[in-house]
Amino acid sequence: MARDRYHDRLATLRTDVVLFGELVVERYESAVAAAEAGDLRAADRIVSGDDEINRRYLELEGDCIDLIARNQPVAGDLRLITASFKILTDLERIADLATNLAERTEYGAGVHPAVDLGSLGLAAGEMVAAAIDAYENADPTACRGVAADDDTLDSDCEATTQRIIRELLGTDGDDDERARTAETTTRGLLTVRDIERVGDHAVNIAARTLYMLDSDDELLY
Amino acid sequence: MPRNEYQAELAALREDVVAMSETVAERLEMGLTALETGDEELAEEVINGDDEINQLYLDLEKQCTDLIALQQPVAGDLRFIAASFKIITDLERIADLATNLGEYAQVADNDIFPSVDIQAIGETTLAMLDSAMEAYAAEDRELCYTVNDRDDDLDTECEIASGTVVRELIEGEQLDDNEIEPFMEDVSRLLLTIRDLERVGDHAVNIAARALYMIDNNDELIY
Repeated sequence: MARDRYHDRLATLRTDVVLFGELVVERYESAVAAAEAGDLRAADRIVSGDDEINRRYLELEGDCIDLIARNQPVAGDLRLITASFKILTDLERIADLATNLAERTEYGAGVHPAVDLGSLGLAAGEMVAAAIDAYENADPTACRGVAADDDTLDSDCEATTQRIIRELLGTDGDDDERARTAETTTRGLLTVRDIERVGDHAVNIAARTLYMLDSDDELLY
Repeated sequence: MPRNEYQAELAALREDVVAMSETVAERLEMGLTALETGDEELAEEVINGDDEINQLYLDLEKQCTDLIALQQPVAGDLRFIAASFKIITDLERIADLATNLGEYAQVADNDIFPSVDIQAIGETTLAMLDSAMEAYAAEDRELCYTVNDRDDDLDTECEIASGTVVRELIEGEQLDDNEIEPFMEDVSRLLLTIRDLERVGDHAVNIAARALYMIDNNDELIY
């Protein structure tokens, strides 16, 4: 294969990963909006769209393996391909978490009064978008920014969990009301857990990008 | 490189990935024991041991990419190396979760709700990890499905455990103001422990899913 064609394929891989990332962020943001508004129709669209994401994921993964096998890339090129290979996994998992949020959506209801889904959910989405930008623009500073944002997200998630639990202490009401409270509480806790996980995947993407750029494994673990 | 040397390298990769999983399983066990006994030294050992796992992880990753780049493997061999490459990520994440358990063991009283059996959940995750690695090492497709089914049970166990915490909180007696803060911390840690163990199970399923994809090119469990 001509050298030019090889470099074209590397550039295409990078663009494809970015486009895939943007698609996943869009799905995730729609899932947050659907869960917040209790919009079942929008939620259904996200759930049924997951197959498409999965197919694309394995296609792009195949591209990575193909590139390594045919071109014996070294140094920076190899790091770009292995980073892409790992980043795809994180993106696919974020799409799974978007599907979780969508599946948990209740008609006409929000998630839980103690969960500020707008700010918490979107903060995690912005982290993913920033991580993809860092990968696209080869920006090490932005990688570290994502890791720093995750500390904020983690403490916001922790505080939200504490608020959810605190509302339980000394709950009154009959058995039916208690069952409903338990259900809402579980939904709130799971939602916070999933959002926090989205943030973790954003950090993974940033960490892989930093490793690709500088061989710097500072954020990797 | 002669052909038989290449075959030996493939075999070595498989052994090294299995050896890494054994170390990771050991850390997970130590993390669980630290939670049960409150043994802070053991907890410290798990936390400090994470660097070693991380190094092992990057070494193995290099072994995989070297093999792909230098040997240009095709078909089954390529799928085996790609699977190994993914599986070590899951192993590294499980080790991170073991480290979390070590950290919880250092700060929290984990016995606030005796009806929540963390050790039983932990045993399930260890068994799942063991089966997933066996499926990879022995190319056992049935076992891949077993791990996937087992995860449904684990999820149920975790849901019941979280549900128990919620119910205990609803039905629990009122606390004095000065008791609330430490109690809340313990409750949070307990919920995080359940969440992390559930995550260990997810990683075990990822390993099984990758093993199945390697064995049969079957992507059924991957998503």
